[in-house]
Amino acid sequence: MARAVRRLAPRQVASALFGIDPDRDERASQLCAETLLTLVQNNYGAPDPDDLVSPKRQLFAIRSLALGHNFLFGNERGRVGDEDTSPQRYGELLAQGEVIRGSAHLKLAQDTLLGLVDPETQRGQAGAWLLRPFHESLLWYDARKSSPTRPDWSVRKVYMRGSGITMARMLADPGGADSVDFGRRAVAAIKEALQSPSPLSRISEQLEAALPRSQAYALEADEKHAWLQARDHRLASLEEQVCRHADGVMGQGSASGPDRLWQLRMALSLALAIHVLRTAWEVTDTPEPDRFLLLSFGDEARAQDAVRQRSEESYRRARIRLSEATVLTLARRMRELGEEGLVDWGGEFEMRKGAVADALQAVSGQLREMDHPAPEEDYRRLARAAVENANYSRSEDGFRVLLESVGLMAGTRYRYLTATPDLLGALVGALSARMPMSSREFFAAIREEWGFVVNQEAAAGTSLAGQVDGAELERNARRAERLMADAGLALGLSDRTTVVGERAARQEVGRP
Amino acid sequence: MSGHDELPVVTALRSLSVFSADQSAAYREHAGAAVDVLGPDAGSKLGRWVSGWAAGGTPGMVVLTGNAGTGKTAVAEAFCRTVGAELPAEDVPTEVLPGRWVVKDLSGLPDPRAREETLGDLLEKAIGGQVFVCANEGVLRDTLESLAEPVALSTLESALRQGAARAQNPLLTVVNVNRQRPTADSLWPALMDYLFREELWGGCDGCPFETGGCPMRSNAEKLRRPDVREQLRLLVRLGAGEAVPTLREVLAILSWAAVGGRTCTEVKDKFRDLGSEAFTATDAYFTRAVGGGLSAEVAERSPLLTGMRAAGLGEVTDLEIDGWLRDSTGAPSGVRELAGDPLRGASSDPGSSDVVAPRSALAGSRSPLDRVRTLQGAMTFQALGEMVSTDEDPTRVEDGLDALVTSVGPEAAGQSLWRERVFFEGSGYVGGPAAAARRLLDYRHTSELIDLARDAAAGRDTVLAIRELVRGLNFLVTGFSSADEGLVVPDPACLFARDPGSFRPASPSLVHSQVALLRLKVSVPDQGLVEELLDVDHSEVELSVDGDPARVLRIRPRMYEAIREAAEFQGPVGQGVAEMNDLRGFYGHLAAHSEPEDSLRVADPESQPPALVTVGLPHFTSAGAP
Repeated sequence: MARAVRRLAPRQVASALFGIDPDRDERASQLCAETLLTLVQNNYGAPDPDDLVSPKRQLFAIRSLALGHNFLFGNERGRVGDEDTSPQRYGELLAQGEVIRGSAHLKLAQDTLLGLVDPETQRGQAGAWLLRPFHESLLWYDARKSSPTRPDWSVRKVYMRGSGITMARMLADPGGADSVDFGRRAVAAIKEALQSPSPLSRISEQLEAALPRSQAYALEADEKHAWLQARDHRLASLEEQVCRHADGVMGQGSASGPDRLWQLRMALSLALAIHVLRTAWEVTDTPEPDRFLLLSFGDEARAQDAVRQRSEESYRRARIRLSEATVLTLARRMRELGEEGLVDWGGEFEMRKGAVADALQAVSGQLREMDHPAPEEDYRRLARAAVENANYSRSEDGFRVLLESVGLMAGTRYRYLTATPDLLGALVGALSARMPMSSREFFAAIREEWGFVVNQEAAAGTSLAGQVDGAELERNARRAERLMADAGLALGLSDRTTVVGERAARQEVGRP
Repeated sequence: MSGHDELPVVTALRSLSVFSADQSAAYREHAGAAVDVLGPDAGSKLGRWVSGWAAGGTPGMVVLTGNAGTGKTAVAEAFCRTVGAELPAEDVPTEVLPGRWVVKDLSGLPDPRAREETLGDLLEKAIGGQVFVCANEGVLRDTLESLAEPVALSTLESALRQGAARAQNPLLTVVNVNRQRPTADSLWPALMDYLFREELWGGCDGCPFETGGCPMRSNAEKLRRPDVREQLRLLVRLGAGEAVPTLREVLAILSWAAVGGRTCTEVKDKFRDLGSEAFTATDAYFTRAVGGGLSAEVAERSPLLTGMRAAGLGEVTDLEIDGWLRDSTGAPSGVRELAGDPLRGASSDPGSSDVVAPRSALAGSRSPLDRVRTLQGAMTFQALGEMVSTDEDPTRVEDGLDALVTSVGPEAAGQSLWRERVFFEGSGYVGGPAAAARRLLDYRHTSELIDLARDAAAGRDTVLAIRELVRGLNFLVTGFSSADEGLVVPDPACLFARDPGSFRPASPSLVHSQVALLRLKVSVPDQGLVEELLDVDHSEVELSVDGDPARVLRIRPRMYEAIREAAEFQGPVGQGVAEMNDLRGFYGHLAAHSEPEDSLRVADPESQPPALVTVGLPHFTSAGAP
């Protein structure tokens, strides 16, 4: 009989470490879409875990039109409108933007929707493409073909892995008393933005309504687990940050609904990525001066840009800490299982074929022959061997793709950290309750909230102090100010002051 | 001659510049020596109004809020001077005369409680006396909130939005000095005269100006010309579209433009040693005004200067103007004079015979402003062009080309200097100031924006301008270039599919709603009391729907440029994300304030002529059959 849970498998180790399981396939777009789908499917409420509705949502008609691909292929059950039109035929006509029962210019509507595809998802098979999360009627779950040889599509996990369900509960039903108001306001604002009257919803609703009614997707066990996971005590600080930042982004004065939802997408992903990193810092006992991520805003060649080089280093160190935290957690779990008297060590690992299986067999063999509890060093040696040879880098990769997909990473061969104007907008939005503030205060705030270092003041007390010239950091800060001013997020007031977030905080539009 | 080794105004201007170590005069408290030379201040409308109020003795409180460097302390000094008192040295409340109190900086008080007590006490004193307060916006708001002074608080909020506001009992006037514009009609010439009036620039002992050897006096002389002042004003206006222009920054830039970091002694010594080769156009106001001579690190410290540099002066090519540099024979005589053409009636010898370059390369030179440094020695623009175009010595041609197109460090290339000089001094030969701006700046429509703002402020007809704005806006947000359907409001989501800066054709956009042209209004932001109290400059406009302050698009030079380019070219426009962020906010509010149309319509950028196409969805009588 198959073992239900392999306690030393990468996923279990990641969960044991972070309280949540970030995955390399789960980028900002998927995380946000799953969060919003969970809220939408559950009517923006917080149901009892047994009454939770799955976030799976098909929308194959609008999806066929928007992506130009027939997601209803092979579906001959029922009829659409008349006896001659099967769902498959309906999907085919929609995918081609052709005339259907007196329709006109569907091709134009198709081109319009195609412009709304989230570019971050626009790779690989069309079932995983998502529209930007701007309206309830545009939110759908991943789909893929039942098997590579079959032409029909079904809704199932591809890149959405459950973290969005956990995030949705954090917002809709926060466990921490301090987060309740933030979460309530954020969810109300999300609902208002996602349900705002829009011609997009009319297209979606009318096209979907023509399909024979399909059964709702049953809640899967891991979806329920993801919902329950939101109350894990290790996620308390993540919940607090998610609620506060979501409230900040959604409560901004002058941004439009889609603007705020786009920023929400970034705020959620950033919160998860930073939670993962902070946990790794804690577990590895990282010295306080090394707990930072340096953002570089230079435009010089790499060789001349010391800040960029240190930024690369800060990112590299962050990944090393994540890897080290995984080793320590795996070692801890090995010791705990050894103390329980575990015999079948091989059954606790996720064995695959080839070299990975050989390496894990060797590790499990040594664990079997050890006297437990063994010295800590022995567990660490074996954990390191397992991590180096098997696929334990999922959280490290998850961290990377989250940063990539929010626009925090740049460079190809040498990856360094920076921030795009959209991301800066999200940072300003997340802190809207404290806006406006001077750029100096803003840099201090993002140091505190996300561990980002931009200017000299934020670098004080970090290991950067002896590595980068203060003048170079100040120049870095001025570049960041300039970028924010160009993006309409800041205003230069004089030779010494730049004020950030004046618009984010204001209710009136168009006033200085 | 003034009888000084060092001209006092040179020392004063050097100390006004925040770009060098000596910047004492940039701060009012330390500006004594500079004030002795230049005079108490340039004479702003606010200063005159406060002086009048002080002289009249009407009880009340005047609060100035605004950023550092906007001139609040100078106005406080004017208040004190009018009543015959000295500006207090301390920030704390000071009774400068019986019944007259001055708070130089409310945030100078140690803690919030002290500020509350002080302000509460002063509000009472304002019933029978005069109270003058300078305060930072945040500190003032916090203090008024803690004091539970709703009237004062709402007056502050109104002032922050509208520039100035007034309340009664006690008479409270709050002025947001951030809304003051140095480029205002009366303030700009006053500022220029404050620094460059002729009486200040008589010359020091042994000044080589008359022999074309003093770049500082040459600069000051040009900065007295009305056409030069207007062009500089335009650049400052463009910079002000990106940042709040404080008086401190403007004075610093003007001072840097005229004297840089030079001293009279240095100029005289260098001229003595090198003759006319000592100074070239890299010391000229026309390049220094846009950051010439400053490293990029220093220049980017000033948001205003950064904004002025973003106008691209010196970088924008113009075939005719660049051609005059290479061959000035066909150019108007005035242009040839600017180039230092010796055939254009110049003094045959700008310096004494022993200081002129031996090779006649400086034969037509009148001042350092027409000279360029090359590896072949300093020469006039005209001589440089001639060397590059006709010289048979390949080394000289190579050196000439280097000097023409290559900038070394903070020193601009010859052709950039030439374009800058023509922009300032040769506008009359290229079709006037507006045409010079259109041809030599990245902004092609600024003068039209200023005209529009003036028309709107004066209540003149703006219907045609609105139509043009709508045409550009429609193209920017939907790729649909027509104003016939009014302002097309796309679904806010569709704005994310639009990138007007790219060469990707626009996607069709779903139309959320439309706004008829008659419902649109163009106005200027600074109207009413703020116009009475502050020097404002109408150089930006607001496009509003039904006069609703929540549905307003602020159109500054960059946004106007994007709109006009979109209307004119109907292709990619080189604008950044700021414009799209503003547009997303504006259209988001328009969509939020109106119901979507009943019919489904798409703005189709491909259709000719541009059209809003109605999309018909399939007709179904009921849900799909199981």
